[in-house]
Amino acid sequence: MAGYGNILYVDLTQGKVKQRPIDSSLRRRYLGGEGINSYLLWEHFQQADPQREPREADNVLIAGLGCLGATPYGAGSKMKWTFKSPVTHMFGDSVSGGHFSSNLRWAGYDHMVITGRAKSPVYLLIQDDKVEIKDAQHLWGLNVMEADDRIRAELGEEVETALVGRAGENQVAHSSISVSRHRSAGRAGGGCVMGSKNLKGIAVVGTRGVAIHNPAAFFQSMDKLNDAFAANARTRDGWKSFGTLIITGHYQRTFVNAFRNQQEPRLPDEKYQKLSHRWWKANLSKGFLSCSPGCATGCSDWYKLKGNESPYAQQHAGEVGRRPEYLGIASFGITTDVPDMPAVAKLTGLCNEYSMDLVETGAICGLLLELAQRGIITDADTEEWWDQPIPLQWGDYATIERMIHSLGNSKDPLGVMFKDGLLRGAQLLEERKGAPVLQYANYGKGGAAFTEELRHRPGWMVNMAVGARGADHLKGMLTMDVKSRGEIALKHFGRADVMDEYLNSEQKGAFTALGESHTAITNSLGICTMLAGSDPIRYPLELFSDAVYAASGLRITPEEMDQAGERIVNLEKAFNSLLGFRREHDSVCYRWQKEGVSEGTGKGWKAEDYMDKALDEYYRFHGWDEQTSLPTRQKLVELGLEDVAQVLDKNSALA
Amino acid sequence: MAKVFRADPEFCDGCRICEMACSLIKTKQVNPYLGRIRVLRDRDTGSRPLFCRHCTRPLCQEACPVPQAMTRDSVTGAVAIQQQHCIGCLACAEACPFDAIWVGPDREMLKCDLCDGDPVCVRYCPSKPIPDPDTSTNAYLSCLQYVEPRRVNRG
Repeated sequence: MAGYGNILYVDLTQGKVKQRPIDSSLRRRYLGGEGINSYLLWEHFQQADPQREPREADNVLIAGLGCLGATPYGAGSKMKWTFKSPVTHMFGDSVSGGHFSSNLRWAGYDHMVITGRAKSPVYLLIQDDKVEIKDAQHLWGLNVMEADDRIRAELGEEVETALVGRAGENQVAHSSISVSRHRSAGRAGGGCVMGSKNLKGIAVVGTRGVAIHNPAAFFQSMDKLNDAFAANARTRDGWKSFGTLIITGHYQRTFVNAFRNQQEPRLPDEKYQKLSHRWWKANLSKGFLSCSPGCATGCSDWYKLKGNESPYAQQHAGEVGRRPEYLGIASFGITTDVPDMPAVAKLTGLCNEYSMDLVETGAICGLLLELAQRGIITDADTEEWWDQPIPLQWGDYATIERMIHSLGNSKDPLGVMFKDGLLRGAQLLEERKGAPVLQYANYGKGGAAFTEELRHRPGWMVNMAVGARGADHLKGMLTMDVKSRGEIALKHFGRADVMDEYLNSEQKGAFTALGESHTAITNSLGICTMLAGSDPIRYPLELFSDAVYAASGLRITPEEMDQAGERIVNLEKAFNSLLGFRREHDSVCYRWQKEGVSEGTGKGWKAEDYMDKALDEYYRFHGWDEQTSLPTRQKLVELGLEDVAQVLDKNSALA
Repeated sequence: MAKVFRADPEFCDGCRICEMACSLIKTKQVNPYLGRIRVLRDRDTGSRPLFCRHCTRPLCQEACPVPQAMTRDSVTGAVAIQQQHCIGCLACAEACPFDAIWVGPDREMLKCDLCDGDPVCVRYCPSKPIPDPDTSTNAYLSCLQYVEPRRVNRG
């Protein structure tokens, strides 16, 4: 069938490689990308024991790119990585941009399933049909840029890589996978799984290409997408010009920039000026960059320091890097209070070098700084970590850099303490200090939460509480949840007013459920969840179902796609239910639950005031049980998941 | 009057839509290795397209040992390879100062022919907004352009 590649299976224990085609019923039911990944995860854990520790060889690392990725369609090429998360110990997945995933498709593979554990460090080399497990002793111990340089020097400039740095090798729980040098699959600990398999990374060159079912129709579907972009030029221009950095401005106006480890919902004005998208454009921007092939928006950027831009730049003239995304600014600019954009870019890049999740790392650094502010951590602690007493101060980027090295190398007492992530580290620290620590940690579901002030955005807060992979809102992109998007609410809830305001907790639980299903579709098509992927009114599913048909010949209606999205969400939920996760696990941390926002339009808002009611709505909208949160047989059967219902029933995990 | 095929590399964001769209229209598959235009990427910084200028004095044509194998289209001005006459000697690729002629996996020479005057790469090259803070409007420019010669001198 045109438009689809095979599934590549790699067993690192046996050193064996095989492949199989994807049958059309699987495509229809799960689309591709995230959907088929999640199916493959479920399939894997029908054989392997799902309760085993995620660092065990039984875990699986799955990668997949949907059928609109690696094409000129115009919405980018975003790959999903899926595994059991070492951070949250439940379902884990994360998205990456970069050119790696497209090369994998051009080599003939839409999905890759890596199992087992190699005896010694290896990397996987894929050159079209030729798949080899190669020795990686000479790469072990190197961080990402150097390892990538070495691989390309050996194999050629055109090779694209997905690698772990030292954090992955050390099996730091929140290690990410660094893709094509600069784009990370950051969340949930995919890099830890890779490292636990003794797998340094994957190198790929794809020259076979992807056949397109009907090229003329595919060009027409590209035209339709471009028309939709043109019809929404204003939002798109902002996005094109500033990318995710534009969020900094929006959040500043609406009190969502979580300053100093979420103690305040807003940056001081003079600091905001130095961390805003406009500052970037005026001082550092070198031009537009697409993070992955086929993106007609190109919202990324790069820089080269002249030396006069900031205090950090004065010491580092000539340094070249990529512009951090909003979460980089949030993690280091806002959470740890470093109002110096080049320094933030450097800290972000350093996380990428070690292959460590920015969010978890930023949250750990923010917690340590707040504990120092409160006198709970003192110079005696830093002397124990670093053999010299170094005071921890907000905004001291040299010390924050030191923390990142500690966390990535995982050798000194600080690195060892936080090897299992923010929550476990905070627990250990609380035991050791005999003083409150956990109440200052911003976490959910066992891992760090997004460093954003969302207590007064109930829709997004529910997302954090229920996210299948942990506490963030990217599994349910709620960019729909903004003013004037009443038409979405009208379509789904029969009333337009409920989405008029962020500050309104009505129907936000249901809205979260809706967002999850829609995001699952986007992530299964291989396109970006920003812009076209997160707005079902301006970019309706008809656009994508037409494009899928043109690309692959798979005739699928928007209604069937909607149902596929729901099916994917239900399967991921079923996996977590099988592991024992219930309603009581759908919660957020102490600070968000109990403490009100300190100022601004959302002053006083806290999660406990609306969470229970919103969760009821959320489960109801998904057709799950309100008491336990478990999936119901009726819903699973409706989605054609009888076999899943059977497995859950046998394990007392069905409502 | 024949139009000019040119590029503003500063607006190239490395999306590779040009090379993918080109391979799609020429071969019915998406494969950058079959594109008649390519994107040269630096891993850490920016990108720029490698493309045929359809030179007034084409060095590729001068280097070609077979007279009928490299010809100029009288309407579009495209300097194009006539595959039935091409002997695959690579002389054109070696002579091109812009590295804009390639060899495909079956040894066929890959070179731009301007798609009969409507180059698909230009059609889908994403335009870039240049925000003007004074008027809050955007000037749009694409990296790849196929324009009247006078438009090149927009200055």
